[in-house]
Amino acid sequence: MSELVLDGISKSFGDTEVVHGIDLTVAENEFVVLVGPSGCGKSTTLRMVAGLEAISSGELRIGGERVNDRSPGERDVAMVFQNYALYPHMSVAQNIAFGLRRRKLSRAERDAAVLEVAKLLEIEPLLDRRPRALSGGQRQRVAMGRAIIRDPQVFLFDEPLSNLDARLRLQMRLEIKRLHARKPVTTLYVTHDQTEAMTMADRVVVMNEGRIEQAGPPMEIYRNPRTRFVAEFIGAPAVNLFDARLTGGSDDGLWIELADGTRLSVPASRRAGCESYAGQPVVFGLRPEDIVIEAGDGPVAPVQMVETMGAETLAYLGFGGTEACARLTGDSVPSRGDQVHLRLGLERMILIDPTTDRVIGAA
Amino acid sequence: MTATSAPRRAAAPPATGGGPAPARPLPWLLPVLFFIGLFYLWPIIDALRLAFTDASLLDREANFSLDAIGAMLGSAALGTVLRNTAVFTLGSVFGQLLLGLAIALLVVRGERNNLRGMLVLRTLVLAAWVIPGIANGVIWQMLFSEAPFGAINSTLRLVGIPPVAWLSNPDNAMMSAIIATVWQGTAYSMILLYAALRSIDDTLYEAAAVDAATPWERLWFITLPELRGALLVNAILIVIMTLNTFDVIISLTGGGPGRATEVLALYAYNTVFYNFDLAGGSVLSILLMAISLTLAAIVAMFLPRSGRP
Amino acid sequence: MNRPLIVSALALAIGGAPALAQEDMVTRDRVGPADAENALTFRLTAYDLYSSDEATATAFEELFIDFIEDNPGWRIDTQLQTGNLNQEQARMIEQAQAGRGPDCAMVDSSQLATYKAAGVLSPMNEYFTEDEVADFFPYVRDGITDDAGNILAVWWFTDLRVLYRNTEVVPEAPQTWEELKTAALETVDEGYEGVLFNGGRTEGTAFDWLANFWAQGGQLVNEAGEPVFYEGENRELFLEAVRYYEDLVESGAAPARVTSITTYDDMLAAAAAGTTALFVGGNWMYAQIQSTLPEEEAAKWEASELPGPTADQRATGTGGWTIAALTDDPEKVRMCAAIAKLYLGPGNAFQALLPTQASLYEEYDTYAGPEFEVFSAALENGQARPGVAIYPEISNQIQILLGEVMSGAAEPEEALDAAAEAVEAAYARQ
Repeated sequence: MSELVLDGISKSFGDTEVVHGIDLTVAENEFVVLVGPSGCGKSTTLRMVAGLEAISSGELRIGGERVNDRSPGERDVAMVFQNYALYPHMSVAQNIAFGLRRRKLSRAERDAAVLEVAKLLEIEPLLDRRPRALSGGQRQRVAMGRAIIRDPQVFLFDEPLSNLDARLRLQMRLEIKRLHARKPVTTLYVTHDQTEAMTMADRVVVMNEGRIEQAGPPMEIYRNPRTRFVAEFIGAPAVNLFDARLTGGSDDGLWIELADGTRLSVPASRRAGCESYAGQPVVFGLRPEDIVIEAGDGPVAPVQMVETMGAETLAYLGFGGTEACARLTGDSVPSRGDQVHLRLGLERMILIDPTTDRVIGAA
Repeated sequence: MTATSAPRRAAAPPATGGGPAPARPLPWLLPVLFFIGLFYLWPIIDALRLAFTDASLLDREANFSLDAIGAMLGSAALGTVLRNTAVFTLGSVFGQLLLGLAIALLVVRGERNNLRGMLVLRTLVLAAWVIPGIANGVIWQMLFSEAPFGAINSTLRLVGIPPVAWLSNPDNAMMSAIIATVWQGTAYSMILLYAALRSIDDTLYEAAAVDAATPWERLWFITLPELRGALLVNAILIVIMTLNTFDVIISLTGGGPGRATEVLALYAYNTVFYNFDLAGGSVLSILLMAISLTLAAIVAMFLPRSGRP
Repeated sequence: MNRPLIVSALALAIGGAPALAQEDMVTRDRVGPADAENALTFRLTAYDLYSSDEATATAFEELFIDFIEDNPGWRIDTQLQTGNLNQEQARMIEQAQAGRGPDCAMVDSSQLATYKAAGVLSPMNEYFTEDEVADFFPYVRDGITDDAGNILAVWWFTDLRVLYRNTEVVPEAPQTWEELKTAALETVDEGYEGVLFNGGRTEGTAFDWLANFWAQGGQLVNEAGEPVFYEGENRELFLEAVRYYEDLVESGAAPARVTSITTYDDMLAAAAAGTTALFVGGNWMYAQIQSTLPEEEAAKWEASELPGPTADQRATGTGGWTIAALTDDPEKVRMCAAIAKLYLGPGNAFQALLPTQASLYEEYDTYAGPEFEVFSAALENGQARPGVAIYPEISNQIQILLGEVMSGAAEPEEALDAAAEAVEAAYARQ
C-alpha cells in the first residue's frame, strides 16, 4: 500500500503563501501529472513531497504514514531532477548503485541489481562511463535507473524532459510511460508541458497560482474543463475563444451572437445548462478540431493562414471578429484567401461566464 | 591604398572576410612576453647566473665558480633548514586547506540557511589576509608572549591550564609559526574554496538528500570530489607561497630559538644579508624554486583533466 | 586647486615671499633652498630630523636651517633609510660600489668595517684636528680610522649594555656572574621572572652576551680579521660564557622564555608590568623607563655595569652610529664632515645620546645626571664589535648557538663546533 496523500498542504515563504492548501491523493501505482505554467507552485509542491522544502501546513502521508517531519532520505521516495543531478565523478554504475549503499548487499548482488536496471533502461554499455560522456537522453535514463533501483514507494519527476530536444522528448515520454506500465509505481510527475501531461497521465492535475484548478483523467480535463484557465491551458493548438452574447430568440431558441454578428444556434443538448445566461455576455469556446470546412449552409469565413503538418492542417480563419484556428484532417487543403464554409461542432462548445471565468454548466 | 590594389582586393574571394583574424598571435603576445621576460624571467636567469659565480654583495666582480653550489649544498645547516621547511610547509598547507574548507563550508551553509553575519564572517577572515606578514608575526608574537602577561598564556592561566612555551621551546616554536601562518593564509583558501563551493550544483545535494546521504557522505561523495580541482590548485598556490614565506617567521621567531624555525627562504635571506653571499643566496633561491616547481608539478598531476571521461 | 589655496598662494606670492622660503627650508626630501647650486645627498635614519617625535624633529630642523645658512649655495637632498638595518646597509654598499650611493650617509657602527673593507669611504682627515681625534674614546678611534690613520667616518654617538635592577627588590648591584644568579634566584623566590635578556634570533642577543666573552679577554677575530673565537684559549672562554647563560636558564635564574625575547621592548614591558626585577638592556632604556613607568616606580630602577666572571673582569658591548662620506668630491666630503659635527655635539646633547668624545660630557648640561656617571664609567670597559665583514655571520651563529643551548636542543660544545664550521665556511666564501 503506497498511496500518496497531500492533505491541505501549504507553503509560505515569509508572509507570502505560494501554495494554498493542496488536497490530492495519488492512488497506489497511479501516474499523476501536475501541470501548470511556471510559478504555479507545482515544483514547490513536488519538493514538499520529496522533503526538499519544509511543509508550512497540512499533512503529507505516504503509505498511510505521516511523513511531514521525515528527512527526504527517510520518506522512501525517489526523484528524477530536471538536470538529472548525476554525481559527476561517479561512473554510471556507481551512480545507479548509490541508493543501495545502505542495504547490506554483497558486491555480486549489487552488481546484479545494477545490471538488471541497466537492461531495463538499455544502458548496459554505458555502465563504466562518467556522466560527462553521456548524451542528454542517456543521462536521463541513468537518472531514472538511480531512482528505479531503490524500488521506492513513490516516484517523483521534476520536469525530467525539459532539457531534451523535441525528438528525444517524445521518445523518452513514451519510454517513461512504457516503464510505468511494466513496473508500476505510485508516481507524481511535474511538467509545464500540457502535451506531456495529456499523453502520460492516468490523471492530470492542473495547477494555477498555488491552487489546483482541476484534476481528472486527461480526456475529462480536455473535454470538460472547469475554468477558462484549464480550457486555455490544455490543448494544442489552444481552444478558440470568442467574445459573445447569449440571446434568447423569439422562437424559444437560444442563440450565440458573436462580435461580427454571426448567430449560432445552441444545440438542444446544451441548452439546459445555459438558459439562465440568456441576454448576458459569455465567452464562447471551440476546440480547433470542432471547426470543420465543409460545403453547406454554415457560416463563411476567409482563410488567412495555413499551416500544413502532414497528417493534419491548421487553418487560421477570420471568424467571429477574431482569428480562429481549425484543425483539418484529410487531404483537401484550403489556400490562403479562400472563402470557406464552416461546420461547427457546437455540441462540444465551451461556454465561459466572463465574470467568474468558470465554465458554464461545469460541475 | 593605390589604385591598382583596390580592384584586386575587391575581386579577391572573401576567404578571410568576416571570419576570425589570421592566426598570427605573436604581435599580440609580444608585450606580455616582454614584461614577463623583464620582470620574471630575467631575475631567474640572473639568479641562475649568480649561482655559478663567487659574487658577493661586497665585491661586484663575479667570476665563474662552482664553489657556491658546493658550499651551500654541503652546508651542515641545510639539512635542518630543509627539514624545518618541510614541516612548516606541510603543516601550513594542510592547516590552511582544512581550516579554509571548514570556514567556507560553514559560510556556505550559513548563507543557505539565511543566517545573519555571514558577510561579516567572510570579511573578518579576509581581514587577516590583508595584514602584512611582518605585522602578522608581530601580532602573534604578542599573543604567544611567554611573559606572565602574555595574551594566550594569561588566558590559559585564567582557566587553570599551565602556560605553554609557545616560542622558546623549539618544537612548539615551529607549531606556533605554523599557527600564525595558517591564521593568515586561511582566508585565501577560504575565498577560493568558497567560490568553488558556491559553484557546486545544489541539486546534487538534493539528489543525495533524497538518496538518504548523511552529511559525511555528502562531503565525501559530492563536496570533496567537486572541489578536487579547487583544492589542488589551492594547494599548489599555498605550497609555493608557504615555501617563500619568511616575513611571518622573521618577525615571530627570527628563525629561532636556535635554528628551530629557520626555513629555506629565511636561510637564503640570511645568507645574502648577513653573509653578503650573493652567489650562495642565489644557489639557495634556485633550490627553493626547484622545490616549488617539483611540488607544484606533483600536485598538478592529480588535477582533473577536462574533456576526458 | 581649491579656492582657499589659491588665495593663500596669492597672498604668499605678493607679500610673503621670505616667509615662504623659510617655510620651505626643510621638506621631506630636502634641506635648504630648492634652487641651490650645490647639492649633497645625505641618507639618514628616521630618528632625528624626521623623527616622529615633534620636539626632536623641530630641534633638528633648527640645527639644519642654521647649518644651511652658514653654508650658502648648498642644499642637502635627504634620503630616509628603512628600518630593515641589515638589508638597508648591504644595499647601500652595493649602490656605493655602483656609483649610485649617497654622498654622505649614516652607517651603523657594526657595519662600518664592511664599508671600510669595500673601500667606498673617503677620508675626512683635514676636517679634524689632532686634539679632536684624540678626544674620541679609544674603541671609537680604532673603529673609525684605517691602518694609515685616515679618519673614514665620524662615530657620533655610542651606546652600551648595562644591568638594570629594581632596587627595592635587589638593593645591591650584582658585580659577578655568581652574584647575578643568586640575586635573580632570590627575585624568583619573591615571584618575579628572574633576570631577562635577549635570547632570540636578533643582533641584541649576540651583542649583549659578547660582553661576557670579552670580559674574560676573549677575541672573536685575530689581528688579520680571521675568526678565532672557537680556537685555542678563546674556545674555553667562549664556552664559559655560554655555560653562564645556560646555567642561568637551567637554574631558573632566567626564565626559559628568554630564547623568545628578540627586542629590548620585551624587557621594558616586563619592567612596566612589574614581572621582573633584573634585566640586561641598553643605556637608552634608562630614559624609556623614566617615561614609561610611573615616577614612583621609575625611581626604583637603577643601572649598573654588567657583571663579569669576577668583579674585576668587565666589558660591555658598545654600538652607535657613524656618519661617513661616500663621495669623492672634496667639497662634498667637507660638507659631510660638517654635518657629522652637527650630530656629534648639539645633536647628541639634545637627544641625550652618549657622545663619543670625553670632553662633550663636560660641555653639555644634559650629561649631569647620575646615570651618565655609570655609563661613562662603564664605557671605560667598552668593546666595539670587530670591524670585519664576517661579524654579521658570527653574530648570526652566536644567536643560533645560544638559542639551541638555552632551549636544551644542543650542548655548548657541539653547538660551538657547528657555529665554527658555519663561520669558517662563510669566511672562506668572502
